[in-house]
Amino acid sequence: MTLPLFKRELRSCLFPTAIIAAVVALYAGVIIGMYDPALGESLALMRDAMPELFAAFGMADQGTTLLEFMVNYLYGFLLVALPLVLVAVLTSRLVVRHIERGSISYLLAQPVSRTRLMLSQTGVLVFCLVLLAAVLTVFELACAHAMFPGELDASDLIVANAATFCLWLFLSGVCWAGACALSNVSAARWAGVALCALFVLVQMLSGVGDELSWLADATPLALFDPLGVASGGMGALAGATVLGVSGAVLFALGTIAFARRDLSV
Amino acid sequence: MTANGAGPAICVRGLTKDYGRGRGIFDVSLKVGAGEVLGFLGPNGAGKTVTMRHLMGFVRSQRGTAEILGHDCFRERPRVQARLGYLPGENACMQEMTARAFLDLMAGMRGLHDRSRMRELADAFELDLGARIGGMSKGNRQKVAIVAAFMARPDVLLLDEPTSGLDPLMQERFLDVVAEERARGAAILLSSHIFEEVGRACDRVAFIRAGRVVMACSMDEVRSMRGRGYSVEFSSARERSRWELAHGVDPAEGDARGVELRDVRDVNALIRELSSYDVAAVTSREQTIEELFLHLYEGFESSRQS
Repeated sequence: MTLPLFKRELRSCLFPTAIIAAVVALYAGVIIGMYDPALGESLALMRDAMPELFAAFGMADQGTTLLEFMVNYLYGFLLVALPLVLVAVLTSRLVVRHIERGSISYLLAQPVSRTRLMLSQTGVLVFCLVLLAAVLTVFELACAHAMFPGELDASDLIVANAATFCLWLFLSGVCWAGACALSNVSAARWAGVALCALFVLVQMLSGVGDELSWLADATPLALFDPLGVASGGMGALAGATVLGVSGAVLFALGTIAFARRDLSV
Repeated sequence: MTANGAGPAICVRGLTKDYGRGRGIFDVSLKVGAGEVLGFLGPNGAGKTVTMRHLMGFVRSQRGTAEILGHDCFRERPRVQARLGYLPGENACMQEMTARAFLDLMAGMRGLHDRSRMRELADAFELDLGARIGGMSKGNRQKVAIVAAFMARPDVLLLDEPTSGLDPLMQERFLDVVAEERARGAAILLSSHIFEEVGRACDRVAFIRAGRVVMACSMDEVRSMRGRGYSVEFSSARERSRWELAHGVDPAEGDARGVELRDVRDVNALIRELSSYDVAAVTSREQTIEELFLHLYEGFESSRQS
């Protein structure tokens, strides 16, 4: 970690993080606001009319508690896709853009090892994701408390969000490894994002029909089960741990590749 | 000057990086001692920047070694960078930052607390530290890069096309700064394709062509080889054509009466020869460094082919 660089990069990454956090908070507020038995019935009617579409976005089951409702309507797609957009933007800013523009030559001209440089950049990305998770959790708790006091168990939500953070860490690791290891700038920018988007698309496809339901277990997203983690299921907990650890390993592999590669800048 | 203070500060031995189709560098060897400026001269694409990238630890060599102050440039990069100033050939300072913010970031990463040299250099180059780099002209962006390279008073300086974009006055100031650093004891590798710049700033020169160092000598040797050039104006275009035919040259079209003679060593022979022609005027000048280098290089090429 190199503090001057960390501070500078964090300043440049806070704006996109704030935008995504605002959009995520907006969706969270809207979804929590929709937790209304009467509206729930109309949603159930819509779901019955378009079961494949709802299933594709991970909204197959309304659930009985507020947390189940939130997980079904928010965590299946929105809290995967929107943070992925943020990860794509930040990875590009923190790694690819420096190589593309050549400003990496100034960073590498300082007495800081490549590993330390990348650890600093990784720190900025992870810090932004922690901020996003914190804003999301606080906003969800505040909304739930304001609209449905006593309906949402804070500790369950925090655990579910911790599992979600592990998923974000995994997606970030995939994008980071691609950005650090690939020498072609376009590939470095998009390879990881494309792979993650593919995971999301396959996950969506798995929900639209029984013939494709086997696809649900074909991507790493199958390990993401926030409700299972909240209810203390060991399998779900292990899945979240695997996602988090895999993310950390991918970050490490990306950093090692970056430290060893040629940089023609 | 190695880490222990003995030997050359910059030492490149048999460095090779083959990018295929003749691109890259092949068996490049260079040495630069403390208080010495080595000019690294060659046309675009000759391999100057690739050599610099090896010295910066950006790329790993296929063969040979690149060491600075006794440390391997790739494996011991942070130790090398701690005593190195670098001016990249492609100016890519972070455009969204002001010059001051950028230089503070570089100084912060370097752990440099004394910013007096930074202010001194900014004043010398009349650089507005409050201006955003993205809004600067190419010359001003180059000044930011120059300040970043020199502000830590490094023991070794790698300067890749350093005066690119600078106006003549600022080029003069830059050469003054290089002279100051040399006097302080810094080892400097100055890559350029501008012959006069190398001629003025450097103690020695290495000429690189198609990835190979084809000639290396001191500037004193270069100067001693310097001949004179003559402009001869004949009384008529016909007289000029007669002279050209006598020298096995196809007569040029048009009414021009003058010819340029480069690298004339035997002046008496020239005068004797011109006495049989109707000459209107003869002016002489010293051979430019560029002409000399081109002449030396052509000599090297013909000796290699024979």
